[in-house]
Amino acid sequence: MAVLITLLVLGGFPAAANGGFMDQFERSVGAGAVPELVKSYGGEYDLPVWERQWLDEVFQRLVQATARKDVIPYSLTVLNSSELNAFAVPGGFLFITRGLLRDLNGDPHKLAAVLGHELAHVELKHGINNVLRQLGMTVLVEVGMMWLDLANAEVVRVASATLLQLLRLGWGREAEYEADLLGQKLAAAAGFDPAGAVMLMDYLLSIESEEPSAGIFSTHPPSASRRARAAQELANFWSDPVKLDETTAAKVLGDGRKYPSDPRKDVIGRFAVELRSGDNTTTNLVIHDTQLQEERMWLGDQHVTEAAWSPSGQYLAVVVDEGESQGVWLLDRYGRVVHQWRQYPESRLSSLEWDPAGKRLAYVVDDGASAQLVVGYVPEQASVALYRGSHVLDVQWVEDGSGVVFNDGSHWYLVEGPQTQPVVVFNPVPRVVERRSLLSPTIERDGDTIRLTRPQLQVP
Amino acid sequence: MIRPLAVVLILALAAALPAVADNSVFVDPKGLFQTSIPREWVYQAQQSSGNLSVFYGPGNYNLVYFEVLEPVTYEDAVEYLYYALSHLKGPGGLESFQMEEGPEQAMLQGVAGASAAYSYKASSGHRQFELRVIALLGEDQAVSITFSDEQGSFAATKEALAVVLEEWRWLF
Repeated sequence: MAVLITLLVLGGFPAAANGGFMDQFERSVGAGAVPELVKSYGGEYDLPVWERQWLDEVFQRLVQATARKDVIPYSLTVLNSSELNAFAVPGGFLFITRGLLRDLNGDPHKLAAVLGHELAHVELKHGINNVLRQLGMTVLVEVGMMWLDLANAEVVRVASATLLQLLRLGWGREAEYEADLLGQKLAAAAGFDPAGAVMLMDYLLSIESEEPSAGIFSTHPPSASRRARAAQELANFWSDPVKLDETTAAKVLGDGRKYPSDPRKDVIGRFAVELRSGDNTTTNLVIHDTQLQEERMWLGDQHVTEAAWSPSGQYLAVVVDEGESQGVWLLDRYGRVVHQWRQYPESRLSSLEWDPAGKRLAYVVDDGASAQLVVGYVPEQASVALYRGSHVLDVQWVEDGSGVVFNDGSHWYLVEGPQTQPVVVFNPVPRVVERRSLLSPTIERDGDTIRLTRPQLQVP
Repeated sequence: MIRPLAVVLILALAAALPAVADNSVFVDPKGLFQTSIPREWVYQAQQSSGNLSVFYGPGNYNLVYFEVLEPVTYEDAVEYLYYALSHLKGPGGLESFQMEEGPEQAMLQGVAGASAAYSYKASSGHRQFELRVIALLGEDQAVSITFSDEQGSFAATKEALAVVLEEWRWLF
């Protein structure tokens, strides 16, 4: 038995270990650390029941994708802290602060990336293996004793205290990268978009650039490096291009054409786009406003080569040619540039195609040597390159947005994306609605002057 | 079997109908039902969505709102209402929740449902009373109807909204 325990401690518990003593020990060590952790983050936070139902649905879908769900009773606690943090301790205790939850703003894919990462730490036993390594031979003897006596509280207490110390240091860079990768896979398996991991890193980078001292996830590797890895992994969640026979191609393309497909007209029917020849070889973006019965030019004299309204009419995506580079810009309904979204030097962009949900934009980047089919997430910076070849033509989304069809000049191909499912809360608790008060300004007289003051806002 | 509270409730509300109604017809955006709303009650677009429709009354705290809930796997409306109320009085639910009446079985224009009255401390600090009626429609759908007001004027609000239940029509 001593040999077995030595192997377990020095080599770490195997990730696929079945339930039993080791899982119970892990659970006990984690449980011993929970009270102090919860206290240090201001205690538990009771989310409004409707938000809690939604959060539980996301969490349970992810748990169902784990390998240890039958031996680890995973739980998720929201902590009453405005800090931006999430972490897991051995035994399946996951925590997320209300601050981070608020910042994720109901985005299930980013949330799945956070929770998937934390679940992965437990799945891969990063915490418990670190504790055992730290305690080394001391615990070896005690664990041997506990094999016969699970109620040995002292060794659990020591291990829990060690765990609390180690949590401040993190599990190490390689463990974090491992957790990122498995977390992304768990998210995809649970029906969330694995691009959420890239978007999450973009969010962390934005926080770090605004507030370098924030120290969010300071025990983790640099966010830029984690983002690069997550982005590189993204293409693996899409299928390789599958050549379609004539019958299948006709069916897929026919289905795809069912959704409103004239990208020049917005769905509301107010704005129609025209690319009008200007000076020399340029074309300018002219908008026909059918409501005001007038036409106007957006983007001044910029050379615009393509334009496509998003299905909801929220964005107009345009390809702007700036001479040495071309970019995809996103305009709002006032013609304002809300994102200079993508920029490609010495390349030509074409075939802007929105997915039916208006969340992703497919386009082709041609650098003269080859053409690349790219799908970008709007308005995020995440994107994935799906295919490179001599030609990419006639790009089109499948009707349900599950894939992209294109032609390489001689054949049709289909690339299928990760299958995502909306978050559906079963047996929702009926909502409770309160009246919102209209705030009236206070009128103050000062001699002949009347001053209106801002109403006092009271945040509950 | 319909229990006394619900019978009394619906009959009392129906009996309180004004002789000459001055109402607007409201058709649920999802096409499940239509009903009448007193004309002075105002639809609140900002608080409404595809599943939720909210109207404010002429008072300070009175409102009526309708919600289509799905998917609901309960087959008994009283059980579903018990489940919902247990959440409303639990962590993350309503502050100082208190049951006032029910839950009881009820019928809403031929569809089995349940009703209950409860109160809670509203965000402005006063005590808000709500009468909630839930009907299960099959195909995993339910409809919730809520009359809501502060204690002092709750009875008058129920009376004013009696037409909502009286004129209720299912559209399937």
